[in-house]
Amino acid sequence: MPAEEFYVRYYSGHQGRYGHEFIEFEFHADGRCRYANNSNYRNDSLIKKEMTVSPLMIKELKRIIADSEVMKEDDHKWPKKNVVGKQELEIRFGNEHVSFEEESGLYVTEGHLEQDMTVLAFSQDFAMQWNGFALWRSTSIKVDTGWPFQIHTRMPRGIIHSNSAPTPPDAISPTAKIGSLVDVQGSEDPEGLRVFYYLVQDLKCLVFSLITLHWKIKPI
Amino acid sequence: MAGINRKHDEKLVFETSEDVKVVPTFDSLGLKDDLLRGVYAYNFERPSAIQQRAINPIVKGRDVIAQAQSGTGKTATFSISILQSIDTSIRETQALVLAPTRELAIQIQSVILALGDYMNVQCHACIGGTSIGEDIRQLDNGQHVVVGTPGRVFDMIRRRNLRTRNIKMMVLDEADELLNQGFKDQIYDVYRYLPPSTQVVILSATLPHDVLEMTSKFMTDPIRILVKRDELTLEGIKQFFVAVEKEDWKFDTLCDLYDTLTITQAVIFCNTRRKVDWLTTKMREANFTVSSMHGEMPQKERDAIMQEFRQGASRVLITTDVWARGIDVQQVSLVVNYDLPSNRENYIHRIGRSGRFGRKGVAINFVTQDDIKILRDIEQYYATQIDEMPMNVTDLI
Repeated sequence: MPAEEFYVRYYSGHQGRYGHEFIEFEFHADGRCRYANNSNYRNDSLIKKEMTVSPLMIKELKRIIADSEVMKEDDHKWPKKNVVGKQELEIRFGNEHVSFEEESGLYVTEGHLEQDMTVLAFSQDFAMQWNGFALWRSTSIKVDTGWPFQIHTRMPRGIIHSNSAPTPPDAISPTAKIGSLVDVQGSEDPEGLRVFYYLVQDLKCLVFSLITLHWKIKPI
Repeated sequence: MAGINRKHDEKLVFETSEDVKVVPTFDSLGLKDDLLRGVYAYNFERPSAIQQRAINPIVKGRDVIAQAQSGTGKTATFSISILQSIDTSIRETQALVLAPTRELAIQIQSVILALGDYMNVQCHACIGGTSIGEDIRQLDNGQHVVVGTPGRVFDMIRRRNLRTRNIKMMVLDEADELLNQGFKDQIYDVYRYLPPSTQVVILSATLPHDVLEMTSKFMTDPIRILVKRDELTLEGIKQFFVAVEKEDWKFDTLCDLYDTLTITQAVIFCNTRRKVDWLTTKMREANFTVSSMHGEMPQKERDAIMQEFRQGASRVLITTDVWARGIDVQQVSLVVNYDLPSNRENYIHRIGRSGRFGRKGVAINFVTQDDIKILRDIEQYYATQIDEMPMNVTDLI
């Protein structure tokens, strides 16, 4: 079966007393699944796991993502990263690619380009930390002009959401990662953020179940 | 790709030893007949994962570091191993077990006595808050196994009522707790009095890396049976949280939950003795029946409350971390963290008061806005899921 373009990655983490604590996992179209969990709590260290899942599992993963309709969401109203940490969800699905970042506890979704281009993949890398002022964040975008041909451009984030100016700082929730549904409810885009929140729950549930099945010795 | 490619590999790594063999049945462990009888009489059928792996190396005399999820048979692991290793024809102390709380020591004593029912074993609980004269009398009478809390055990050794000459094994149950700052010096005091060749066995559901590093100071080429932190939570224990806007709202939430608590039995954890007293008073004022227990109470009262709760005469127990570790009351199916625990280890231990030996359990965390980050960090650290409490939580108990 020729692997359709498909990739999912989730990251959640922060820098703190116990170093860079994070959890991250990814799935590739060919079934490769990688997982990492780091903490330096009481000298603890990185755990890495890697496994291959069946095409059926990838199919189910696609179904979960498709059903969530997260690809239709736009994160520009989602809370921005803060000291509490950030989350990233990157999905490449067919010819769509979205990546949501909720640094500071909230999200920045890179949703849609209005140009007549299909975004294949883009990864944001925030050149500047959010420090209470809206600053330009440089976003490198790979724009598809006919796969597998890619043009790499760098443009300010404002251009991506050309219909929406960067959110003024005082409109940004001081909370960071999504603590509870209260944070979702209190955000500027509760419907969209809820989609994200529940999808992340589902993905984590799936990954943890897979890890348990693959590695964990039944204690009883 | 924030983390996956990071290189931490040169760091010191502790993993389960390669030569750990799995023994699938109690019959194939090669136990003495009267011990095997005791094991089956205790209604054990098949050894749990830790029992399959740890009993053999302990019986062979190796130093052993044994980690296993809460409620999966660690106490029986070392109890069976001790009973297999001692010679009951010599009426001297041959094994010493240390535990962080008196109630746990008493519980371990009763497990050893039950498993050793057909062996004529003498096992004494040497704990604070009891008569020293009685301790001395019991020890002078000759005890094969002594289970105790560090303070009283050291006292008895110093008075030479607990003779250490024949001790061949020291077991530290809840080892990470015993090796924490509060206990470490007392453990070392005891250790210095033991014969140099004493075998050391340590067990806990949580063994932080810094504790594993420390073991080289008192253990020799140990066999390690370890569980990674992301495989430590039990699938049988469902974890939830309730977000409250203000601390005051926790009380109302607890009252709302009371009917759920009493379906079977529940343990409610607070972080201080004072808060246990306060919450107990407040619950009683609101006409709810609750028991409470903490370390400031006289031992007689603690014993009575334990007995009441074990027998099911009381159903809701409000307590501190004195109850966090090791205590086994199988009917407990619900744990409430009224306050989040002050460290990540005790989160595992507290929720592990439910879901004993494969049973189902539910843990509910009360969190204020400030607490939620701490809870999310715990969730991420153990790679588990703690979701908002659903309306139908009762169905899960």
